[in-house]
Parts: sequence; C-alpha cells; structure tokens
Amino acid sequence: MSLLALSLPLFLLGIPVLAFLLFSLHRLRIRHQRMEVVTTLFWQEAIEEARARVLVQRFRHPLVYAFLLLISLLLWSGFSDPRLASDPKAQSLILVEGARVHQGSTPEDALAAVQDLLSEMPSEGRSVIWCGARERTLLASGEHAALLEARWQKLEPQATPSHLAAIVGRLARQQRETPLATRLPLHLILVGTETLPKDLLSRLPRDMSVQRLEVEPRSTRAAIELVALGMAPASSGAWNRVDLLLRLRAALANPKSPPRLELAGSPVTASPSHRVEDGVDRYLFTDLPAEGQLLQVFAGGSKMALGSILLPKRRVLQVQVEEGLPPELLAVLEADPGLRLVDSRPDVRIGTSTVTDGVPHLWLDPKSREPVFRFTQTEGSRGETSLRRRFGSLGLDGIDAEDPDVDGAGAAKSGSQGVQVRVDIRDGSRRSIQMPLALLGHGYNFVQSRVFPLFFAQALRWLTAVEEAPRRVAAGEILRGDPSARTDAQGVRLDPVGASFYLPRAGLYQRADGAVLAASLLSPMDDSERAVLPPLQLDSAGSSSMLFWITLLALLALVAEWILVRTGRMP
Amino acid sequence: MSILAITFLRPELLLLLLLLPLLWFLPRRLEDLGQGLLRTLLFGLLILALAGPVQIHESAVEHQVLILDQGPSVTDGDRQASADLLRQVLSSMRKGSHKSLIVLADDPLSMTAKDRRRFARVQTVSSSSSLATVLEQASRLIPEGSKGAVTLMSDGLSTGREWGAALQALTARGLPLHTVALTSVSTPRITGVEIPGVIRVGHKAVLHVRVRARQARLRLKLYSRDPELQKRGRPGEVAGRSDGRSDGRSDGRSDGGSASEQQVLAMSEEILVQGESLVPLEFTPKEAGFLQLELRAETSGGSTVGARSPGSGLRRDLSIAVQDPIRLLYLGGRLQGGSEEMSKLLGPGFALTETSQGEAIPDLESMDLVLLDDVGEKQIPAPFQERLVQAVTREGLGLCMSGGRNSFGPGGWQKSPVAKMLPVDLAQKEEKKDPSTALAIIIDTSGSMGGNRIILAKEVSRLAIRRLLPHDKVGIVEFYGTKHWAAPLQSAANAIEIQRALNRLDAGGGTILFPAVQEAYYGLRNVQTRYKHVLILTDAGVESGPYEQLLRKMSRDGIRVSTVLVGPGRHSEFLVELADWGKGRYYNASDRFNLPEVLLKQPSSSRLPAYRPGPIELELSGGPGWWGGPRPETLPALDGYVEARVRQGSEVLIKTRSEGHPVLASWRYGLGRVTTLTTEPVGPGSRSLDSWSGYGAFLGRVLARTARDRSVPFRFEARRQGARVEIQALAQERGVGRPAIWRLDADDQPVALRFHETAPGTFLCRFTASESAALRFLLAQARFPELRQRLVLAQDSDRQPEMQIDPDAGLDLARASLATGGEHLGLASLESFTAPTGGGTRPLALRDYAPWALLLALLVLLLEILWRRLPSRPQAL
Repeated sequence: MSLLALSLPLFLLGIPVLAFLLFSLHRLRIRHQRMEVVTTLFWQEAIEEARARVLVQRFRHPLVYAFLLLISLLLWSGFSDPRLASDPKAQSLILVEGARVHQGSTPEDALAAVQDLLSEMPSEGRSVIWCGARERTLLASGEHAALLEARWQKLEPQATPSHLAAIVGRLARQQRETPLATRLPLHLILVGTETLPKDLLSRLPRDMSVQRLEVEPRSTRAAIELVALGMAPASSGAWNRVDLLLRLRAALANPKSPPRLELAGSPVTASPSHRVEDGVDRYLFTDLPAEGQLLQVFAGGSKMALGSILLPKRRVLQVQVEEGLPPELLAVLEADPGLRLVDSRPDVRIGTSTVTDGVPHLWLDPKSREPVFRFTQTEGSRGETSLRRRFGSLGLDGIDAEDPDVDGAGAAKSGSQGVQVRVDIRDGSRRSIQMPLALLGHGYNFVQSRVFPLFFAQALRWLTAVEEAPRRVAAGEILRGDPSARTDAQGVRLDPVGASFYLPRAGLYQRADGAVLAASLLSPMDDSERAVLPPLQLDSAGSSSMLFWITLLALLALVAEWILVRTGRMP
Repeated sequence: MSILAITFLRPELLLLLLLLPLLWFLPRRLEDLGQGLLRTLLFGLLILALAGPVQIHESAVEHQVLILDQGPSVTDGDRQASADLLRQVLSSMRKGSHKSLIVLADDPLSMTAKDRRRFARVQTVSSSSSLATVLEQASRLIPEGSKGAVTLMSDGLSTGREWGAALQALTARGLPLHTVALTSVSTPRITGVEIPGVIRVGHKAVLHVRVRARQARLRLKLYSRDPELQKRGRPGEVAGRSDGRSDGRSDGRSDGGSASEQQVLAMSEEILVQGESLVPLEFTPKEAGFLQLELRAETSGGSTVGARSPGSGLRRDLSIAVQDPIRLLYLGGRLQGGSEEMSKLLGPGFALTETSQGEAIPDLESMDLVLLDDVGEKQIPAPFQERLVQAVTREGLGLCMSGGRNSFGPGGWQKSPVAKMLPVDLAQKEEKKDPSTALAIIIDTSGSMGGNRIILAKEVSRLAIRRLLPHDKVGIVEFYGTKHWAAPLQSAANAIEIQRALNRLDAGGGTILFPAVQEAYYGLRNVQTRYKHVLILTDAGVESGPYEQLLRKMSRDGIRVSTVLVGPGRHSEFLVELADWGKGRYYNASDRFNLPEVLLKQPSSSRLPAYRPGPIELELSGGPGWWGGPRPETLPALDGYVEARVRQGSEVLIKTRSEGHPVLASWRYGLGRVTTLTTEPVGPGSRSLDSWSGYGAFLGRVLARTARDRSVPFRFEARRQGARVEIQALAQERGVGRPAIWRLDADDQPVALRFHETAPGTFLCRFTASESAALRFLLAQARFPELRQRLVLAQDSDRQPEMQIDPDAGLDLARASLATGGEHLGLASLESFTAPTGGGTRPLALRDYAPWALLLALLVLLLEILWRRLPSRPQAL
C-alpha cells in the first residue's frame, strides 16, 4: 500500500498528534444541560457535575474516546490518500482505432465504453493508446481515469489506414524480446475493430492475449473507398505523359458515375478505359500531361477530394555531346524521347574533357583502361543504396571486358586476364559519373549489351537529379529508399534521419528543394485471413480507490456518532 | 467538463446534500446553532469527498524517459560508465519530474532499491530490439500533450533500420531526443550479403559478402545446413535433374551432393581485412528449391571464436531460392541422340525439351532458349520460323544455331527469316560448270554451194565456233568430191587459225558427203571431251549412202550430228533424217538474216560444300563473363566447322586462326540474343573438345547468356516491416498481364495469394505474418502459372544481428538530436545535463480534492468537539 498525499513518517506522526488532541478535548468538561429529574438521588452526581471553575475532568468514557479517535483516524487516513499495492502483475493496453476507415462506432461511444472499462480496472499497469496517424497515449499507467476524457477531446479519426494489426505485431515482438525475468503478461484490448489476421494471432506469445471491447452502436462504412491511385510512364512512349490508374470500391451497388479528375483545379476531360474486377471499378487514364501538377480525384458527387497525387514534371533534357564520340552512343541518345541533343545551354554534357563549368557531366575518360563506372554522389550511405538499386538492376556488373591490358594493336599482353566491369560509388560535393571511353570500344561488350541504352537514360537523368516519381504514395506507409526530410501540412519538419520517410496521414509533404508529395488514403490491400477476436471478459479486480470506502465509512461512523450524541447516549 | 473547472467523478452522490437539513430535526431538534452549523459543514464535506471532486489543470510536470543501451555492441567501459552516471543524471533533472527508464539488455540492470524508486517505471527489453522499438516505447510513456524528453545513451547500432516513423513522431509532438554517444566494439563482422542476379540450379552462383574489421585475417566458408535440398513448388514433380557426373565445373571445390550436415559449399582464400571488403563466394547448386546456408568467417588460425551463435558477428544464416533450370527447346536434325548428349553435357542447369519431326512444337513463351542443332531449314515449318523471329525480337527469347553439314548455309538457311537474326553471314559458294565440247564442222564446198551459200555456211560455222571456250575443240572438214580437214581438230583457243581455214574455203567440185562424215567420226572418236558434235552444212545435194547406220553408230558413241540446210527455199527431208539418226537437230539457214544459233552445250552451276573438315586451329577472345574466369590460352583444334562470315556489331568469341572465320559469335537482336556455333556441339566437329574439361561449363555459360533474361517478366521485391509482409511486382514488358503468387505453407503446399494493381504495371501483395516465420513464395505470370520463380523471405529479415551491423549504417545520433530539437553530448558532459523538455501543447494533470475535503472535515470535527465541551455561562441547577 502507498500513500499519495503524505509520506509515511508524516502520516505516522499525525496519529499521536490526533490522539493527544482528542485526549485533550475529551478531558474538557461537558457542558451542563438543564434536565428535569424525578428523584434527588442524583444530587451527588449533580454536585459533582456542578462543580464550579473546573475546565477539565478526569478521563472518562474511554469507549467514546476510542470511537472518536477511530473517526479521526479514518479522516486522517483519507487525507493521506492510501492506495493498494502498486506493482501490477500484468500490463493492459487498450488500443483505440484512430483510423478514418472501418470505424465501427463513433468516437463518443468508444469513449463511454472505455471509461466504463477503466472503472473496472486498477489504474496501475493499464494504458489507453489512440492508434491514429501516430500512437497517442491518452492515459498512462497510474494516471487517473478522469484525464481520459480531457485528452480524448478534439480527437477525430484520421486519414490514415488502420495500424492495429501492425501495432499488435510490434507489441508481440516486443513481448518476445523482453527478458523473462522482467516480463509481465500483456493483455491487449482493442476498441474499434473486431478481427485481426489469423496468422498473427496464432503466433502470439503465450503470455499475451488480445480481446475486443464491444462498442455500440455501429456506423456504416465509407460510401466510396479509394483502393488504388498510381501512375506510370505512358505506355504510348510519350516522354512527357503518364498513365494513371484509379480503382474505387463503392459500398452501395448503385449506378455509379465515373470519378472526376481535376488537374491543378481544372477538370480533366480524358475518357478512361473502365472495367470491373471483383467488385472494384478500375479506371485507366492514359497520356495525362506530366507537368508537375496536382491531380485530385472526386467521386460520388462529393466536393472533398477522395485522393490526390502529384504528377511528375517530365521535361525533355537538353544534352550536349562532344564531337567524335562513337555513333552507337549518338544513336541511343537520339532514340530516347526524353532527351534532345543541343549545341549550347545543355542540362547535361557528355564528353572526354573534364571542364564542367557547373553543368552536370558524364565524363568519358580517354586515358583510363580500368573498367570501372565511378559514381560520385552527395547523399551519403542512403544515397549509395538508392544508387545501387537504380543502376544495379541494369546489370552493369555483367558487362564483359575482353581484356583491359591490350596494347595499341589490340593484342593482349602476356599474363593479362580479362576482368568484369565494376561499379564504384564514392561521396562528393557534386554528382558526377566517370567511365573509360574504352568501354564503348571493341574490347568490351557494353555496346552490344541490353544495358547500353538503359544506362545512358538512367545516368543522364541521375546527373540532373531527375527522379523517378514514386508510382504510389499512400498514407500510413513509408517511402522506400527515400530518406529526405519533408515538411507536413502543419508546417512541422519531419526528418527520418537516414531511414525511409514515413507518411503519417493523407496530405501534402514538401521537401526543402520544393518538391511536393501528395499522399492519399488508400486501401491497405491486406488479404490475410482474419479471425474474430474474442470479446473482453473482465477478471474484475475493481478499482483500487480506498479513499471512497474510507470516506463512506467515516460518514457512516459520524452519522452513528451524531445519533448517539443527540440521544444523550454519548457525551 | 472543461479544464480548470472542478468536476465530480460521482456527481450522483451530491444528492445526499439534500438530506443535510434532517440533521436539525433528527433524532432530536437541534437548538445549538453553532453546533448545527459545524455538524452540517462536516457532513457536507464528507458528501463532497464521496462525490469525488477533481480538477483537471495544466501541469508543469515533466516526463523524462531515459534509454540505456547495454547491448553487446557497446564497449564494456562505456556500458559501465553510462550505468554509473544514471544517478547523476537523475539528480540533474528537475525535481518532481516523472522519470522512466528503458534498458536494452539481456539481463536486468543492477540498481539499488533507492535508485529504482526514483523511477516511476523501469523496463528491460532485449538488446536485440531495434532502436525504433525502444523509441516508440519511450514515446508511449509520455502522455499526449505532456512536456517531456527522451534521452538515448547508445552507440547507434540498431538491429532494425526503420526508426524514421518513431523519430518523426517525436518531432511532431515536440519532444526532443537527447543523445549520448557510446563507443561500439570494433570486432570483425559480416555486415551484408548481396546476391546479384538469379541463382539457378546447375549454374554458378556468386554471393558477395561484406566483411568489416579493423584489421583481421579472415577466411569465409559457406555451409549447407540441409542434408539435401528441399524440392519445392511442384508437388509430385521433379524440379530438376541431378547430374551424377563430375564435370569440373566447380573449379575443384566440393559442390555438395551427398548428405552432410556441415558440408562446405564454398570457401574463400584467407584475406586481410582492413576496413571493409567485399568477398565473392561461388558455388553451384545441384537442385532447385529453397536452400538453407550458413556463412562463417573464421579468423586467422581457423578460430571460430565468436562464431558459435547466430548473434555473433562472424556467423550468419541465409535462406536463398534456387530457380529451376533454363528451359531449352532442342530442335535437332542430322545427329542421332543429340539431345541426350547435349543434356548430359549441360547438366542440371538446363531442362531440355525435344520435339521430333511431326510433333507439335511447344509454345515459345514457355521456353527460355531455342537451340537449332544441325537441322535444315526445310525441317522447320515456315510459320514456326516467323514465330521464332517474333519471339526473339519482341519477347526476348534466346536463340542458338549450331551444327555442321546440315546447318547454316548447307542447311539452306540463307534465305530464311531466321538468317537475318544471326550474327554471321551464311557463306555458300556455287560452282558454275561449262562442260567441254568437241565440234567437227563438215562444210559442203561443192560447186552447188557457190555464191551466197558458202558464205552462209561460213557464217553459221563462225556462230557455232564463237560459243566454244578454250577448253573446247573444233575442226573443219570440207567435202567437195573428196574429204579434207581444212582445219584439224584443235583447241577453240586457236581462233585465228580456224578463221583462216574457214576463210580459205571455196565452193567447187562434187558432193561426196559420206566419207567426210566418216572422217569426222574417226577424228572425234578419240577426243576426250564431255560432248561431241558434228555439224553438217550443205545445200543437201548430196549422194545417198548408208548414212543411217553410220549416224546411229555415231550417236551410240556419244557423237551427235546436226544438219544445216544452207540456202533459201526448199526443205530437205534427207537432212532432217540425218539429224534424227544422229540425235541432233536440223537447222535452216535460208539467208543471212535467219542464221540459226546452234546449241552445242548447256552450262550449269552447283553448290560447293561449306563444311570445312579439320583439324582447325582456333583463336579465342571475349571476357570472363563468357569464359567464367581467365580465358584459356588455347583450345583443342576442331574437327570441322561451317564457313561463315562475321556481321558487323557481333561479338566473336572463337574464330579460326587461319582465315578468321567465326566459330562462336553472339549479339543482341531486338530484346533477345542470338548465338551461333558453326560446329556440332556434340557431334563429330567438336569431338576434340571432349578432352577439354571445361567444355560443358563453357557451353552452359554461353547458352545461359543467350537465354531469356528472365523467365517471369516481372521484377519482384519482397520485404518485411514487422508483421507486415509485402511483395511488389513491377512489369518489365508491356502486355504481360498480372503476376500470380503462392505462399508455401508448413507442409509445402501452395496457398494462393493475390496481387492488387496499384499503378499501371505495378502490383502489390500484402499480408500479415509473424516475424518469426521464414516465408517461401512461388511467383509467376498469371497467363503461365506453371512457369514459376521462387522467392524467399527469411524470418526477421527486417532485422540484423547487432554484432553484424555496419557501423556506417547506424543511427546518426547527432542528426537525430538535431532533427528533434535535442542535444547531442558525450559521456563526460552527462553529469550536469538537465535534459531540457519540449512539447507540452496540452499538459494535463488531475488534482483530487477529496483528501483535502477529508482534512477539512477532520478539523471541523475537532472544532465541533471543542464547541460541545467549551464551558458555557453558569446555569442555575
């Protein structure tokens, strides 16, 4: 047991002080009262009682003293606010669904249900966590349940998919990773969802359980659900165009009008191809202009956008090529619809000279014989990973060198061995690519390889920092391979510090260089077989508030005391 | 209820206040006003206390969460120092702050009871937990809206990398993350394994292992953890073919094959690692399926100290997927048993399908490579050839043409649609044949031939002689009552002499033909030419005689006799009969404008054989990608090859030394690759290569490089994020439809999952599974579900053992502090650090007034007792 309001020494000190005070008060003479008597046999007592100028009397009526002392101690204990033993034997986490979709109840109903639940649970070892765009602890272990409502105010379901399954998975992992010596059983109570993936539930640690809290009434699902919103380079091959995929699921089987698109506020007039797959409407819009504009999707006559995506800005790069380079290279560059060969003011240059004048440069080193692609990048280790992924899929290391040690006549030097081409990445202040000019020659099969045109397409765009826009940007997910810091719609700068950026909710996110991402709330598309959670069965330990019972006991004792005093049975 | 207002937890109990007036009447009417008021106040306070008066107010209480990393990656010294500094840190923090401690350790931290009481909460999590996990836990310990701070004392090496969400959450709340850098141990460690490309049965697989050490000599070894590979994906069907033949393809190293728990599959040389090194390990899987491997780094001396447990830096478990063999469609021709020989030579890396003539050819979409081996063009239907061209050009199918006498030019492929795809020109020489002829011209120079007739006869003769070549022979016999060789039989090259003889002829004399014919017969009989002709030019006024007998005899001896009626007008039946008997032709030269062309022979042409028998010395070129390493200096001489010429742009790997004819050439054609081998790969032409131990591997490598880049036209990526598993498929070509996916359950039975289209050509399959389970998948193109690719996702694949984390890939503590508004400091400055807090947008606390009500009630009780006992005015008794 512990005392919240007083320290133990102070509490103990108070007891004898109280006892002494009461003793002193008890020694005071009782006030006279006029009473009619039927006999004079009480004269002796009357004289005793009528003794004048005596403040105290001898100690009498010990039971009365004890009774009053008991009441006083009750009140004193109440003031010290005792609590029962505070070391919990288990942890209980109440996880409240904070996602906008699939809400089984209104937030008010959920709050009422949780408050009822809390009244049945001891405050130690239980927490209430709101699982929205991020986890919010609305009630920490040991906190008074009255704080819940105040913190719950102004919480609305957020434009993020449900994370409950992922959170349960994480908690299960944490439970497994907690050493046995310090581990407590963990009980999860979910509010706002009825099912979880079966595979997840079947592998929970033995000392962990998951139940659901029934909440009534139920609200209906969203009328239209955005299942998918994604884009890809136009299948027509046009460089500055993209194709857009839109998939919608409507809750009600009504004649659906096609969705409406707006590009930078103006309606899009393109007619999509449409088909229905498994109850989901699939729309494909082709050849939309890729000019860096925000595209919004409206459906069902709603004025609020169902989702949005920022189309990439795919401009044609101006490339300047030095004279005298192999014709195969020129052919590849001319065949790329995203490149235009120019004589001046290029965006990027290809050549054998090292003068760059600030223009991004792909340097074909005429002197180097070492078959290495050297990339200089500026984004540290995460940039290296992104670079390896971008170019690694091209299979650059599959290019063959016949023999690097060839003399001027093309004959191999004795003792030489052929090697394969390598990729070398290093950090620097500016992006650059260096490769030996000889790689385009007869000693290597680079020109004959499938990689050849793809490499130059990727390399030139990488040099000019033209990024492949993510095809899909979904709230509640991370942007794979993108560690950039971004500012959210509330103006908060979020930096993942080298990890992948996490999109907590639908909305716009802006990078320091001005690049914007629009995240939409999309269906999580989790097809895991789900199991219904068992409803909560409380093993009610009841509230640990002793204060209430002490107060009640004191009240009853004082009522009894009053009756005894007023009827003269107690002085 | 609003904040700062007093509220009641049990407001219904306030109804008891209505009972207070009863005090004045029950059990007896109360006359003492003072006592009554005090007693009313007393009960009122108790009722208020019962109703639970509370006030939610803004609180200045701070929440401090300390995270202490005591994992094995931190040096012993820093672990101890950071634990010792805890007390000072606590003392420096603001008094009254709410403190929690999270310890990353496998054993509880040793603390005194007093120190433990200073924390409201102490949690211990395993040292293998990621920093993201503990940051999330720390954030959870700080109630919403409260002021707080998190202080992390760690080396930054996190077993999981996805700390972004946790840090972003702290930033969004305004909670600073203060960091204290601890030193990590610098033991040698394996930090990563990269597997470039696809691992396929029977083909050499390369693992690139990253190792890191300050300075250590290490040898890497790769072990198989399974006694034999598990065959997966096609229940009841053999996934690959085992090759019991030792083929030397493993470069002398053991490739496994026999059941052994700890069989070494590959081993590196001992290397000196200073910093970071990338070490390749090669091995050749013998069967398709899912392979469990163990990678160990042994320090110098063979010690594996520290390599016993998976958590050490020197040991790592791997799960890899070994794909099915390359599907090769073998179309053979001349060579009996060619496919069996080829299959034996190539080994388990190729699954050969052979089609006999007349059988339907399988769909090319189910094949990776087509091999036309010594098969003629006529044996391959034209529609199939067109389909083949389309499949190579637009679908990336690989094509290899090989062979000898029935392939390439000799096989008649020159004009076929396939020929344009080949990296070589098909040379086929033709020989024009002009057989030799001997001609004896018999000219009637009798008197009747005078005038124009003799001139006509000479012209016809000149025309006939003009067609002759120097290897032909010609002679002129004139008859004018007797016979006479005006020009004896001689080479037609002696044109001047013959013309002179012709010019000298003059009409005059009688007409006796028969002896002239006999003379011509005798002259031609012994001449050695292919054809022999006698041409009789006369005006037909000749004598009769046994011409039929003579001419028939001449024709039996191969001498044809033709006749020319010289002069205008009449028909000569006699000359017609002579031509019939002599099996020649009858001509009429009526005037100079109607001179006949006498046909004496028909030139023809025939193909010269393009197959060159050996021995043929070879010259090699090409890089290690073709040769699997350093190129051999030389190869055994070939026993035969088909002559061809290199096309510009193709890559020649083997050519003849003497004339530079390509023997092995290859190039990209459209999306596919085409390779030619101008000899029989398993036939007489390459018999000498049997002595080359690397022949099978080399041929396999060439065919593998020629084959389709990928069997399933999608690029798959699988990843885990905690319990969430997702697999993304990106279409690599247009019009390939959807991908399909199956997950193998514990009994290896495929369970179908679904891909959802998320963008054009992009598909996602997502489901939830426990992190402690390894996951195996089969992936395919929905149109061809039987052509599957394997994929494996190891358990806890989103985590890395702490002792194998690359120090450069840890959490940048300074940057994390900067991003969240915290401070980054060293251990030395920790003692006086106060851990400033942030956030507190709405810090709430609850004040319970019930105890105060009870205290007030106690005072009122004492006062009421005093009131009752105070002396009053004396009263008369």
